[in-house]
Amino acid sequence: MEITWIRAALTLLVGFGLMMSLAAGMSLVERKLSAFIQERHGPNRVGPFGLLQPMADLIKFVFKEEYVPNSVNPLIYKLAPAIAAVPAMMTFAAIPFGFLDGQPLVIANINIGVLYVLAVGSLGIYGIILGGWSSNNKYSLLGGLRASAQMVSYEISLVLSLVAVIAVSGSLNMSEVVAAQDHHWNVFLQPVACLIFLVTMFAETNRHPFDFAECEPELVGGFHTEYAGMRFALFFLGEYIAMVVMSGLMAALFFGGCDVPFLDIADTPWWLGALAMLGKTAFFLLLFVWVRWTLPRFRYDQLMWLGWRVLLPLSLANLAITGLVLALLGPEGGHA
Amino acid sequence: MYFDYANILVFLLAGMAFVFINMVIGSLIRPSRSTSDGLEPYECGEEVIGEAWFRFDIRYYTVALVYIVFAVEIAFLFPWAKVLTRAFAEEGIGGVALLEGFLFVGILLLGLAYVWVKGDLNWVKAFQLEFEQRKRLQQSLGQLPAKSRTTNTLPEDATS
Repeated sequence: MEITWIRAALTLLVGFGLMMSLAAGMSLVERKLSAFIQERHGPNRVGPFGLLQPMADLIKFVFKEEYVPNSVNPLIYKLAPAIAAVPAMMTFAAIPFGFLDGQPLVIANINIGVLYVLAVGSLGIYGIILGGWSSNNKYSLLGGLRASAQMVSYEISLVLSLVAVIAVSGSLNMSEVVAAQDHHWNVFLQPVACLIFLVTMFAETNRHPFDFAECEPELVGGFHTEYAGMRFALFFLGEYIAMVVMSGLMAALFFGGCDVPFLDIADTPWWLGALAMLGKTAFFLLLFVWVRWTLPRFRYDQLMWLGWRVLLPLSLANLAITGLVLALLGPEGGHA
Repeated sequence: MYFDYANILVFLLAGMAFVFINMVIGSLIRPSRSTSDGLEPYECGEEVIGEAWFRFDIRYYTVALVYIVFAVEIAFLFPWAKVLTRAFAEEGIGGVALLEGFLFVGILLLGLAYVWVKGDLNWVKAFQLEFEQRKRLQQSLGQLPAKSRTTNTLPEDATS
């Protein structure tokens, strides 16, 4: 019992630190990689190779002037950034980082892990809608409305692709899904679901090529046009953490999580497993930036077209085929 | 089990504390010298005309309704997916479970097909209908080849 308490406290502490440093690091990596893709230098003034840039940003955000425009709804305006950031942080608690002494190395090993991440993660949209509406600015309003329709449309496909994964794994517990992927990752069993998840995770985090909520050329800053300083930073913290969580989901549910190729999960040392999980997460984080500077932005009706008429039927068909294959394989179906 | 939910609660509190502390520290040390011009809404430097809180055509009202139907459906599909493998392997009722799932999703698919055919999935329904009508008219007048492929895009003049 004693050890459990210490371990839980340590996991909490390390988990929170890891989440924050991943999000902060991502803000630097995004600019560095963008610069690399565009043959620029990127931030390189603060610290060696600009490594202390996130620190400098934090200090700058804290010292920025308090800014509440006259026309806003003050309560909702001030609350919205917190609503955007906190649910994103909460979802990180269910991302598994491997196994230590046979126990899952995760902040909260709950048996409805996947459902929890999806349910709490979708709360973050309220921050964007409320922020956009309460700003009393036409651009913000448009950004918020776009975000609501977009995230609603893509959420169905996102969840349906995960339902197929759950049908194969037979569990909603993330650590059990990871354990079931020993030697055969879900990406090989569910390639279509993986593809759907890949597309929808960009839409759900409001990232390029689906970043209509902020869409600079059309909407100035979209839902955060009226935000500055720390509140603005909280919106971005929420977005970056959501990206980390989505990459973590991708790594854990489709790419074996802590599973190192050619090694049994049980034989893998815990640090190697955690490193593998971190590496896979990092890859998908880099993919976010890579895609941002590679693909042009969609048009809004094209986005809706893709979500409702391509991804939704595709994910339903994938689920049906998964069910049929499970039926054909009979008792040996899934990972059994 | 409940221990893990307590962990989530602690994590939530830590997150809220992080947000709160940052805001408080900021409010203590940041300057506050906003001018009246600075507190105007920013709309690209143009003088602001009217409020942004007016009646606005959300357009996606129908789709929001469809979303709710599907969201509820998915809530029922989660337990179904979880026990599906076991239903095949142990209980021997896999076929029934699968058929039931198909039936359930199939009924909702009919709804999706209805919305699709009715044109509610079009971003600009009115323009799209007008566009198709005009196209049909042009086809009947022989200005367009009869078998031209309908595109999902709007004509240039419809959007402007």
